[in-house]
Amino acid sequence: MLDLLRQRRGTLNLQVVFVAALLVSIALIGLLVFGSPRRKTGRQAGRPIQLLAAAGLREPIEEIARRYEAEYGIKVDIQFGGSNSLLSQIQVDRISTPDLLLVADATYTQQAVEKNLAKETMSVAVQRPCVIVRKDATIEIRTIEDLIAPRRRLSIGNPDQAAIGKAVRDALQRIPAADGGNQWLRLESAVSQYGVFKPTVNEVANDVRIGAVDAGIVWNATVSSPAYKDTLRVIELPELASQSEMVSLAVLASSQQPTDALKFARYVSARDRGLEVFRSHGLEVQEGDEWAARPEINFFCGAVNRRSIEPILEKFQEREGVIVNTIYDGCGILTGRMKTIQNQDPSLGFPDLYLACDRYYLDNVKDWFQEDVDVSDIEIVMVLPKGSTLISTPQDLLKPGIRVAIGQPDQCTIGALTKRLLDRDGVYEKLMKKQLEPGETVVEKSSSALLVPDVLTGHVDAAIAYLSDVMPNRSKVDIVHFESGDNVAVQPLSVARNSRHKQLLRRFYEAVWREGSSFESKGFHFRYCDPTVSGSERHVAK
Amino acid sequence: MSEWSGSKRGIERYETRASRITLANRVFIVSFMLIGLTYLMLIFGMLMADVLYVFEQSLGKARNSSHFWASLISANPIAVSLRDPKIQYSIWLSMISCTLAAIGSVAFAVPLGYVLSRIPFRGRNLVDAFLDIPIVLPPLIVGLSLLILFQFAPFKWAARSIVYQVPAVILAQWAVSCAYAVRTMKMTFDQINPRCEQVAISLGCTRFQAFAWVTFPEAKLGLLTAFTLAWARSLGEFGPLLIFAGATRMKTEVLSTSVFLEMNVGNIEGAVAVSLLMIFTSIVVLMITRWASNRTADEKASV
Repeated sequence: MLDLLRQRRGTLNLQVVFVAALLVSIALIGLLVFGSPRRKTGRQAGRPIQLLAAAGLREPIEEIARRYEAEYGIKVDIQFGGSNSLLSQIQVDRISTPDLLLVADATYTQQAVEKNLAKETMSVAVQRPCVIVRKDATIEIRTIEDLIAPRRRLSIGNPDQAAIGKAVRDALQRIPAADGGNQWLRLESAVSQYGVFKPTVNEVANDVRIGAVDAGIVWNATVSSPAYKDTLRVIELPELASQSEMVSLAVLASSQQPTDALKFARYVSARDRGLEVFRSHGLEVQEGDEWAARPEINFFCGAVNRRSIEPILEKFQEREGVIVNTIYDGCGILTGRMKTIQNQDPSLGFPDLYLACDRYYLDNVKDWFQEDVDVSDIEIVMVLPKGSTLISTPQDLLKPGIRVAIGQPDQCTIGALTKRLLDRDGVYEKLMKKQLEPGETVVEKSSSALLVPDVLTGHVDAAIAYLSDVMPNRSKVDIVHFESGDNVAVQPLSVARNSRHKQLLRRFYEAVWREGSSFESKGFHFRYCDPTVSGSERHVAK
Repeated sequence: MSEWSGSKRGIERYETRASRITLANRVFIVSFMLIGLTYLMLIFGMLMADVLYVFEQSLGKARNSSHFWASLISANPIAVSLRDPKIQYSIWLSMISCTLAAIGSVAFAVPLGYVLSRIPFRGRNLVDAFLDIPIVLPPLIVGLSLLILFQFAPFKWAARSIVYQVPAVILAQWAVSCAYAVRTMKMTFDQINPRCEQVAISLGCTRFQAFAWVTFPEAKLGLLTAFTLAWARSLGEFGPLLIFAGATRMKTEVLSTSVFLEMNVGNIEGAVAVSLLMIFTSIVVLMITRWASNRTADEKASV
C-alpha cells in the first residue's frame, strides 16, 4: 500500500485529498465557532437587543444604538427594511426572536398588537411626506398635478412594503381627480408606466440622487440626513404634508428579554436621550419621559383596590424593570397627604399615579391630575349572617335590637358612600339617632376591611360593605342588594400632571386594561374597555 | 484546371477570387470580433462605472476636506467599508462559508459525478435532469423551499440552530453550488477515457482502487474547476440566503447581503465599494484557477 502511494507520488491522491479536505473543513468550522470577529469585539454585559427598524430611520436609530451601547455596554443589532415588510417578516418567521419593531407609521405597530405579535407600543416622533428633486433639476412642482406631469419619471415607496408608500396612498386617495377617479390612481398608473416602486424610502431618495428618476416622495426626515442634504431639494406639497405619520416602537411578543427590550425602548423614547437624536435629525418629537435607567413611580392607591391591583403591579414592575412605590390607605388620608405636599413634585412624594376608591376622592384633587379613567366599580351591599331573615330593606336596619356596623364617613370611603346611600331615605340620620339610644349597637369602623369580620364573628346582625370585601367569605354570609342608584363606588385611575413618566404610566394603563379578569375575579365590575379613548370622552359615552 | 493554367487572364481571375475570399474572411472575423467586443465593452463599462463612481465620491469628499491626499486615501468608500466592523465580519463569514460550501460541494460531486458518468442504471437521465433543478430554479424559490423543508421532521428538530443562523448560510450556498460542481465532475469523468481504469481492473485492482489511483488523479483539473466554480457560485449566492438565512447584520451577513443591506439603507457608496471588493475577489479566484489549470496542462504536455 505504501509502495503504491510512493509510486504515484506527484499526482493527486484520493486519501491525501480526503484527509486534507477534512482537516481544512474542521479548521474552518472551528474558526467559525470560536474565531468570530463578532465575539472578539463583543465583550458585553447583556445579550444584544434585536431591533427591526424602518430603513428610513437608519441614521437616528443607529446613533441612538451607539449611544446606548456606550452608556450601558449592551449592543443593539438592527435589521432594516420597509415598515410593512418587517411586519410581514415577523408574522411569517416563527423561529428568530426579535425584541423590538420600529416603524414609520403607528398603524403597523397597532396591527402587530392586534395580531398578538407585539405587547407594548410607544409613539416617538412625527414625520411627513415631501417631494424631492435634484438640486440641479429645473422642474417646477407646486401641486400634485405638477408632480404627475406626463412622462415624468417618479420613484415612490411601494405601499405594501414601505410606510412612505402607504402614507402617499392614504393622502392621495382622498383627493378626487378630474377624470373621476382619485389622485392616487393617477399617480399609480404614472409610476407604473414611467417610474418605479421601491421597497424602502432610502431607495427612493437614492433614485432621485443618482438621477435615475426626476422626482420622488420621501419623509422630510429622510432628506435631513447629510448624505442627501447637499444634493436634493425639498418641495413641500400641502396635500402630502397633512398626512403626517407617527414613528412608533413596539415590544414584540417574541422577545425573550422583554425587560431589557423595554429598557432600550424607554431609552429611545426618553426626551433627554433618544428623542433628542430624532429631533436633531429633523423629526418632530413627542413629549417623552425623562430618562432613568430604573424609573421609580409613586402610586397612591385606595385600600379597597389592593386585591385587584396587586397582581397587576407585580407583573408590571417585573416586566418593565421599574420600581412602583405603592401606598395603600383610606382615600381621605391619601388626599389629605397630597394636599400637604407642596408643588406636587414627585420627588417630594407626590404620587405619579392615583387610583381612588371613588370618583368623589378624585374630584377633590382633580386639578393636579389628568387622563382619568374609570377602571372598575364595586357594589355596596348589606352583609348578613348566613340564613338571617331579619333584614330585607335599609329601613329594617332601624328596627330595635338590630346591631349594625357601618364605615366612619370621615375616615373611609365606604363610610362616606354609606352616608350618601342612606341619606336618600333619611335612614342615615335615624341610624345616628339610634346609635345614641341605650342598648342599641350601631358601630362605626375606620376601614372597609373591618366590617365583614364583625358579621362573621356574630357581633352585628348587618354591615354595609363592598362586595369585594365579602368575596373571600362569600359562602359564610348572605347579601342583600340595594335598589337605589348610588350603590356603587367607581374607581378612577389618573396621572399627575407633573409626572415625569407619563409614557410609562400609559403602559401601566394598558397593563390594567389587559388584566380586567383580575378585577372581575375579586368582585369588581371592570369598566375600563378601551385605553385609546381618553377619560373625558369615556364619561360622555357613559 | 487546364482551361486557365498559363493564361494570364486565368491567373488574374484566380488572384481576384483569392483576394475576395481573404477579404470575406477578414470581414467575417472582424464582425464577429465586434459583436463579441460589444459584450466585452458592457462588462468593462460596468466595472469602470463602479470604479469611477467610487473615485468620484472619494474625490468629492477629499476636495471638501483640508488634507486632500490623506482624505483621498482614508475616506474613500472602499477604505471606509473595510474599516466597518460589519463589512469585516461579512468578508470573514463569506470566505469561510464559501470555502466550506465548496468543499462540501466537491465532496458530494465526486461520487455523484462518477456514478452518473460510469455506472449505467435505469433512470439515469431522470437523475441527470433532476440535478438541473437547483440551477434552473429561481434562487428565491430555493430559499423558500429550504425554509419550508425545515418545518417538517426530522429537519424541524434542527431548525432552531440552523434557520436564520450561520449554518443556514452554508447550507443555502451548498444547496445551489453543489449542482454546479456535480455538472463539472460528471463532464470531467465523461472526458476521461475509461480504458486506463479497465486496464487497472484487469490487472487486479478493485473498482475503488481503480478509481482512487487511476481516474481520480486524472480528474485533478476538473476537481479544481468544480471547487472554484462552487466557491464563486457561493460567493454570489443571494436569493436563498435572504429568505433562508435572513440578512441580520453581524450574524448571517455575507458580502452579497452586505450590498443589499447597504443599498437598502441608502448607502450607495458602501454598496458599490463592497461590490468592487467582490469583483476583485472573483477575479483573483479566477486567475488562480487559470494559472493552476495552465500549469497542469503544461505538466501533461511535458509528460
